[in-house]
Amino acid sequence: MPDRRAMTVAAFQLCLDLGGDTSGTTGASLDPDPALDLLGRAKADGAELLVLPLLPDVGPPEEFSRRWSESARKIGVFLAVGRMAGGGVNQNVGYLFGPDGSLPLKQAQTHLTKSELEAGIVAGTDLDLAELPCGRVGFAVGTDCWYPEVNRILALRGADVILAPVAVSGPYGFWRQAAGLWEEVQQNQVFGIEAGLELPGRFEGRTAVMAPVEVTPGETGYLAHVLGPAELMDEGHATSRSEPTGAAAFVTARIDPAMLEKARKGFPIFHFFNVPLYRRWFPGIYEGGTRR
Amino acid sequence: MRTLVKIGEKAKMAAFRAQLAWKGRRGTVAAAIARAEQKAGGPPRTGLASRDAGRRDPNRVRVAAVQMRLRLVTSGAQFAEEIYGLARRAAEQGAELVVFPEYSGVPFLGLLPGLARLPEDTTIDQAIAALTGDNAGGNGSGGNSRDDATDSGGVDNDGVPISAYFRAIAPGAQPAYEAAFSEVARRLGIYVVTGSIVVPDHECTVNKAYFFGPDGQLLGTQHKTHLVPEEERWRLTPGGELNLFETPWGKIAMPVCMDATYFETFRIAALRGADIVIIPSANQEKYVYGRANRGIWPRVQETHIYGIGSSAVGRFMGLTFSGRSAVIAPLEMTPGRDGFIARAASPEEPEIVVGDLDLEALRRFRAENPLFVNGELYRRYLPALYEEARRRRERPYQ
Repeated sequence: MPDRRAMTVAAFQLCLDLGGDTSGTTGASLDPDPALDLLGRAKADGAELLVLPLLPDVGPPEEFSRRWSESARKIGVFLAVGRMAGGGVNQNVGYLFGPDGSLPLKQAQTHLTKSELEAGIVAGTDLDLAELPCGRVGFAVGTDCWYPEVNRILALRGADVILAPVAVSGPYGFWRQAAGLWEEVQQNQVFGIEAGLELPGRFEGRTAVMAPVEVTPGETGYLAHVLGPAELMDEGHATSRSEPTGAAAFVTARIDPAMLEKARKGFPIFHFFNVPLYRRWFPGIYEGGTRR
Repeated sequence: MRTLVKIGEKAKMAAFRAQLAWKGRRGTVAAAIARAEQKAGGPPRTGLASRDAGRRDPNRVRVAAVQMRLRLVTSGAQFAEEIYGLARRAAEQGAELVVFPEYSGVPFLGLLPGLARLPEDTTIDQAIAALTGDNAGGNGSGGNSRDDATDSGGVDNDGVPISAYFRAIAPGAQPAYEAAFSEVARRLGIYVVTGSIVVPDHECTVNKAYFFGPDGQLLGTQHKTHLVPEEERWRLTPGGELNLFETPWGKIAMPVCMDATYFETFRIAALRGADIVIIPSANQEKYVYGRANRGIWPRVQETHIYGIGSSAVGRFMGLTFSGRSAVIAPLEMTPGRDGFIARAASPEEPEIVVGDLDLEALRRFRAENPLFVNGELYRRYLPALYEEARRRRERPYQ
């Protein structure tokens, strides 16, 4: 197993302005060039891994990949970004580019909402990992944040960090986030980096860096949150709707494998798996694609 | 002389067991409940149209979670009176299904001679040491603490596991526990999930929950399937199955406490047809939202079922338990879009939490918000990866 070390990560909340068109379905692309300054600021703050939201894009996917690969290389960071279905591609996909512009990880969203299905989006059927200095990383793209199977499989395969580029249809409040990546981070004892897209009237963001509660300020499960101090992000300060930032913003946090080791030693969730019980029912109980 | 000593020890044990059986006999328990009912003014007005299971509204049920302080008892009668009082308060509010917390049976440790006379904050380890004259070290005393506490290793100074003490009181505790809840269910005409008690199961010792029907009949039991470190040190054995129970309102599952930390529990229950999953809990830690919200609440959101969580609260044998008991539904089905139909006001005080479940509304919600199943993905990795992942986590980081 390669040596692992702490890394500073940055999670971005980007606000897309379509000049009045809030349908968000056509004609929208985020050109990475104007974003370079912002990404560069995160790098200057020490971030080595940058996570961006799930972005709309109507151009060819190869062009999307080329532009963001170039950004990663120019700034010299690991750069994770999501691309919504469009431009001839019928999947939502997460991309992780290396500081040399390489593409060590590309992941299609594996679980779909009813509206995504109706829009003709197709689910991926595998979950892969990449090795970073802080540990193994995997993607929970969009809706995947709310499916425990995704994050459990990633953790079972050795993921220590879950990258979550999302574009969440509003309202997106405290409790909905708690039901998503926040809880997946807790039940798998991993780090989670959620990067949200804002599109007025459509998408709301709650960009954050999450960790097992034991190693976070105030035991809230947040290391950083775009809406305020991490230690305040608990039910006492829960709001039913997120307040839009209205502009691009990012938060940074230091993630350290030693923090996960501390949480896992304190309570070894995996140690108490009831494997005979799971073997009795998985995977047959899912009935090969039956929806309930 | 040695034979006389052996006979003496055997006689003592026989006498102890006889005393336990006496304190736990059903007649005593039933009589205590009858007295409690009379003292309360007779049978409660519950508003039930009929106790007949076949005549209950299958689409609606009022449920209650009993947030309860654990207190040592020295007899089945004493236990039964307390349980009856709590269940009666729930039934008077119209509850047809009442849930008690995990370890509701642990108060029967008071059957150990002299234990109930020890100072209130005496831990289980200290109590056993005092009773046996040993110096059992540490403070590992059970519950579901996630803190990295040192403890005795779950054994006394002779290497006897703590579970042996639960087994020792079982001849009195178990029949009294069963009789109390059965009689309470029958008297009040309600369904009761008892919480749990630590009892023998052949050679094993298990954390066991019971489900009683409104005529007092035992509908089934459930062993906790995911232990906590203290329970492993006590030498408890996890259950191997997740049971479902038929009720007028559909199928119900009742895994125990830490079982709710694992999405697998609820996913299995929900895919097998459970519409309601009940979690009796005894969280041994001061209430912190982040810690408390890692169990039943997110599991309900993942699986689109109803959840009823009942918590032990307060101080018991040197341990602090905290809540908050709640009746839980998918976010969008709740008034505050926070997933709570009803919730205890305090994480530390006893309370009866009452909420109404609408099974028709749940079915409509599911139809509008179907869950996606990626069978190909699951077949690729589940359950194959669990053992390897467990071993990997148990290796130190390099």
